[in-house]
Formats: sequence, C-alpha cells, structure tokens
Amino acid sequence: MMFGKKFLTDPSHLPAPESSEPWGDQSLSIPAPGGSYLFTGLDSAQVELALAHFGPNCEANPPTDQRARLPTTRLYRISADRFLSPYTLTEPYQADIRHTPGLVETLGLRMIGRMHLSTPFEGALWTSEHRDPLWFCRVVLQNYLRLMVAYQTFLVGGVALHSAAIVSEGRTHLFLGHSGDGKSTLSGLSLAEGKRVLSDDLNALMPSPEGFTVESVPLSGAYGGQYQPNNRAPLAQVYRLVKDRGHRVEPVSPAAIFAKCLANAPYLNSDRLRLPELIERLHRLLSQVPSGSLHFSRDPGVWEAIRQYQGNTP
Amino acid sequence: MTQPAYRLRNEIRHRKVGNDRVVVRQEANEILVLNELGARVLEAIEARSSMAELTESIVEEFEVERPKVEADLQRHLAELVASGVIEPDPAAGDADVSANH
Repeated sequence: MMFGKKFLTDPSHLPAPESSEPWGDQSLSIPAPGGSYLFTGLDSAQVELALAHFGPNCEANPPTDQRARLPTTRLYRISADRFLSPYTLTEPYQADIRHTPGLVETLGLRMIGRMHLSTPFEGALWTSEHRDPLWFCRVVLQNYLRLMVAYQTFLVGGVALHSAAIVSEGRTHLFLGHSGDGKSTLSGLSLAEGKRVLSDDLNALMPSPEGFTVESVPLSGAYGGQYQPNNRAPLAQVYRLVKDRGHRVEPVSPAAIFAKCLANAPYLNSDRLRLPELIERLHRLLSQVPSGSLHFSRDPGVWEAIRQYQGNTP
Repeated sequence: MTQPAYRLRNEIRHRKVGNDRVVVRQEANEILVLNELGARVLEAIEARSSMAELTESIVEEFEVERPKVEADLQRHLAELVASGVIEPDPAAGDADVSANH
C-alpha cells in the first residue's frame, strides 16, 4: 500500500519544511535517555499541554546556548483536512514508517514526521493539533517520541526494548514482552515488594563503561510514575515472561532470548537498513548478561524466585 | 560439487546464536528460531553444499543411520520452504534434494 494512504487524503503530496509554517516561536526540551530532546516551532498552547503531560522536568524555552547539539524537531502546521478521519480506520492503529539511508519518515493519525539521522539529529513534525491534550500529547507527540527514542538510542549505540525494567539492589532486571505478556502485572507485584520500576512499557539500554545501563523513557506506562531524567541503573539480567501458576525462573536458550529481544526492539526490527547492526548489537548485549525465563503468577513472592535463580546461576 | 536445489530468499537475515540460528523474515516481520539441524540445513544451503554432502557429514558426526538423517533433512527442507525461508533455486534446473542422495 502507498505510504500514508491510510491517513492522508492525498498521500502523493507530502509537505516540505521550506514551504511550511511553524505553529509559533516557542520551544520545549523534554528530558530523555542520553540527554534532552528539543522541540521548536510550538505555540504557547502546545507548550502548556506538553508541560502538563510530560512533567516538571521539561523546560519551556531553554536558553539558546543549551540548545546546541540537542536532537531537535521543528513543529509545523498542517490543515486538518489533509488527514482522513481517524474513525475510518479498519484495523488497529499502526503508523506507516518508511526508511531510507539517512532518513526515517512516519505518517499516522494527524501527524507526519521526518527524522534526519544526522548528528545532531534533526526532525520535522507536521500536525493539525494544538489544543486537545489527548490528540496533541498522547497521539501525536507520544507516537513521534517513541520512534525518536528508538532511533536516537540506536544512533548512540544503544537499543530501546519493549520491556518492564525493575531495579533490585541497584541493578536492573529487564523483563521482555509484548502487550498482554504481564509486564504491568509483574511491575505491580514488584512495587508491592518495594522494588523500583523504571518503566513497564519501553526502556532504553544505553552503552556504558560497565556494559549497558537501562533508562526509562518519557512515555506513559501503567507504572514508573512521572518520567525522571537520569532514572537509570546498570543491566543485571534479561528475562522472557511466561504467565504461569507459580513463580520460578528457568534457563532459556540463547537463541530464544535473542529472538525475544529482537521481537521487542520496536521500529528497528523492521528497518532493513539497520537490521544487521541491530542483530549484532543485541548479540553483544546478551553476551554480557545472564538470561532466564520467568514463570510467574499474580501471587506475591516473585522476587524470592528470582533471588533463588540468581543464587544458582554462576 | 552438486548444485544445491534451494537458495535463501533475498529478504532473509539470520545469525547463529548458540547452537541454533535466529532467522528474520523481513517482509512478514517474523522471527524464527531454527534448532541445530535446521541451522545446519540453512548453513549448507548458504554455502551451496549439496544435501548429499550435508547428509554425509551428519551421518559421520552423529553416527546415525542414513535413512533417518535423509528423512529429517527432507522434513526440515519442507518446513523451511513452507515458512518462507528458502525457495527452489531456478539455477539448479531439475536438480532436487532427492537427486543428491
């Protein structure tokens, strides 16, 4: 299907920055793994909505000298009638994504995004939204940010994974799974046992001198609370999740956990140009940490099973 | 060397992980894990070795009976074709796996 046909009235005619008008002259920095992401060209209503949504760690109109080298995205106006009605979608929402060597483009509900994978990163985001918090923050900005986090993390040598990241004794245990696999359930059980949840949705694994460090990303999950910059801890172990009647951790084959990681690396795992590097990077990552298969139920005591497994793992 | 009857489809990316092989079907956005024998079949196809050569090496390495190895290889080939990992190689003409036995 033609790129954008699900979302645009005329997908053959995409906007260009040089012929587009920004929403306003405001800017906003949103803290994210590896630094902050800068958005320019916003109007004051958009800044207000984003501050309310992403929290007090965001900064409106940061000083110019702090903007240099930040990954930057400029927002542009686009008429709402360029988009098809969201209520005509006949399948679950999934934005279109197109990859070329230096560029990633996304087209979805009321938004068109274009990311130049340069250093520093430069992006452009067209949207018709500026007053509705649901549309502007939860649909437009969050979907763009998901893609941006995945690529920005990849550009600096890391990888973003759908996962629950839970800190125990200063180290992160990463539990991989798609929706419905139990990431939020496990996160709730872990909070009840006094653990810290980085995110139960998406986490960035960033390279560090000690191996990989896990950081939460500025996106909403059921747990993890308001995004906090520098909320990170070194990676200790990677698990796949299996809902079961009790708690236990079993060994998992290297290929099975590798496949699980690959399946949970959003966007990059369907980017043919970057897939070979993603495969090698995940292989390096998994060679540095132990892994297991966590079988768990809704009963308390899951961390006792994890402790026992760690005690038996060389 | 006998011409192999199959080839990997262009869209396939794969990597050896432990004794197994993880295969990505990019068009379908699907990830498969092949066991050790499946991995050997894939490697043989990629190296353009014949199934006869692969059969021989497995018979020697694992000391199993040739008919069982041949049956297992045929089954793996059929599964790899059905799952879209390999396809008949037109360059191999009429040659097929059974012709290499």
